[in-house]
Amino acid sequence: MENKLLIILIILSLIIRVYPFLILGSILGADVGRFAIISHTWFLKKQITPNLQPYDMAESFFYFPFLLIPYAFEYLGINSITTITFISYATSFLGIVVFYKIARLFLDKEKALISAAFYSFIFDIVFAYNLMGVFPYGVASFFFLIVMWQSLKFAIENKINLPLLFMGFFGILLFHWYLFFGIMLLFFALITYEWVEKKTIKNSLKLLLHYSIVNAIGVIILSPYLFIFLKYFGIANKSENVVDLFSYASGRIKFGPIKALENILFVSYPGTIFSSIYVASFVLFLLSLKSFLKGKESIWLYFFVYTVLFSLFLFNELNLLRITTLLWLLYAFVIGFCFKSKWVLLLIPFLVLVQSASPLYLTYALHFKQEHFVPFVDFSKFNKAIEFIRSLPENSTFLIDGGGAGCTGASANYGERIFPLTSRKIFYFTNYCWADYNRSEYRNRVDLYRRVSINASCCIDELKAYNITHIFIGEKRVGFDPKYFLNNSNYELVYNEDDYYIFKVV
Amino acid sequence: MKMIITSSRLSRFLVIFIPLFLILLTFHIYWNPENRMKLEVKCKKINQTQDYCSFNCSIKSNMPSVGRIVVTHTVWAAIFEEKIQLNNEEQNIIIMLPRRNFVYYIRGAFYNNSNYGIYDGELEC
Repeated sequence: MENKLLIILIILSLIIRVYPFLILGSILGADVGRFAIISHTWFLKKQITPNLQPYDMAESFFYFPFLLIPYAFEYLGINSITTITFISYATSFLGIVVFYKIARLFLDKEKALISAAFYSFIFDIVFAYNLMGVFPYGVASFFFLIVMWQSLKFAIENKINLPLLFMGFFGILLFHWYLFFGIMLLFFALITYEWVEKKTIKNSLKLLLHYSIVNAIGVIILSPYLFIFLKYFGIANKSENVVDLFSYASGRIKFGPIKALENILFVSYPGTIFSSIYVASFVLFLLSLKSFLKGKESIWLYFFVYTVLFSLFLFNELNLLRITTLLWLLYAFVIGFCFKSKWVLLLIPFLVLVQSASPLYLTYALHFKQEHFVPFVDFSKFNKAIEFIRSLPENSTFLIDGGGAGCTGASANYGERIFPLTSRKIFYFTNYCWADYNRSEYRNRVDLYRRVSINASCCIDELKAYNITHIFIGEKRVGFDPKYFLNNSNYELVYNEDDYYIFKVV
Repeated sequence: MKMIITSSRLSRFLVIFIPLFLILLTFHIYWNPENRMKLEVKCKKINQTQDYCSFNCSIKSNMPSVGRIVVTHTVWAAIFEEKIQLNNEEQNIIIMLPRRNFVYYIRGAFYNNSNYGIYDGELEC
């Protein structure tokens, strides 16, 4: 019976992940376009380089080595955005299996299945980040799950699969290093468990040795990449870049301790969605706290305590707060732990209407509440415009509505994807908090975009001086309104379908 | 004493927890020094036409600092950005934005060594 339910869970999980892919044809959000720009630039320049000019403003940067993957796939004729989309959905799906394996270390088959089902439909951290576009962290979360599985297995059963542990760490090294903080919290939980339960820390030290060995191998494999880029690692700490991040995280920095705690426990980092589901799961955890005070289950309690404390005191600022989504693993686990009957699974379909960053709710919201997305567009319409752009001269340069900007910036209508998809250049992108670029030139570009937004005829000579040949306006408009470009002698309408407009600068 | 520590689960927990918590607090104090900057940003709409709105924003801090004022749309992407050096007197900037019946976000972040001032607000146009 459990095996049948497991197969049903896998099929339904696959459907719930394929469905948004069919709606979108891609993943949303900022990171996809800007990282695809990097790998496509390398492809066009035929070298892996920190200098992205003339295709992008970044003169030097540091980011994680996963960029090598979409770059390699470019040589197979697969564009970076397709590669990133596939990796995002695949890791979300595989994450369910890994979470089931984690749950099985504590629970019987039926209970583990309940936990895995809630993880799959409600608490999938990989899906939430990936769909919202924060895919480097989302994919790294999948690899975190692998490390967590092997570490727990070692702590509980004294068994470990070193190739899998290596794979987990290598994935984190590739995609997003913030997850090392997650590993640190997990390790603190494991060492506390071993000391409290077994009055020794021998196993934890052995685990630390395993961690060191597999990471050393990973670093050696990635050393050619790190050799080029590691010298730029400090760029993110430059005051101008920190200011960029601060202005983005301004609301969060002002939180008092109570509000911060509420944010840690009950608000999703991706999408900033407060959810009663997180509140209910937390209450369930509190009600069952007695069962988490001893035995191997206490690992979850220690993990919870350390995650909350470190988030409150250390990670509460800037982007590190995303570590709090690891609490969702506990939330999913505790449901399987507390409910004996699989009938609790019947609750899941009703949770589609409860606001959260769950795959269920986000898929529902794709249809009815698109304001949750960052930002939402229908990519089938977008791709038609992209097809048209491919027919334009190769030296075309696009001024895109919405521009770019901000550490996590994407334009409102994904115009930045024009470059990785068509190799046509784009103007007015980018401002990273992890790159060096000419900031006064960046400000000039922001200003030009603003002035053209107010008066489309204002700056034709400036546009031509930048070799801008076209204006791209998508269905989600920001500064540019087509009415100012239509019947304007400086522009010629060359594309107008599905509310997408492309004007040629005359 | 040794007996109590090794026999009690709570004591054993505290043996690990307290040093970790102290390390955490040390980092917390190191990364969050006392912030003495007070940043004040006030924006007022001074003009509105069919095509644009103008705002006059006054920016003041209680210590010399450097930073920038950014106006963003759709959460992140900038439509206005200015680098500003604040001395002890109030500075005024004029921000002209396209009129789209839209709520823009205005954000300011300023630094002086470990002191920082942050502002966020909205501009409706």
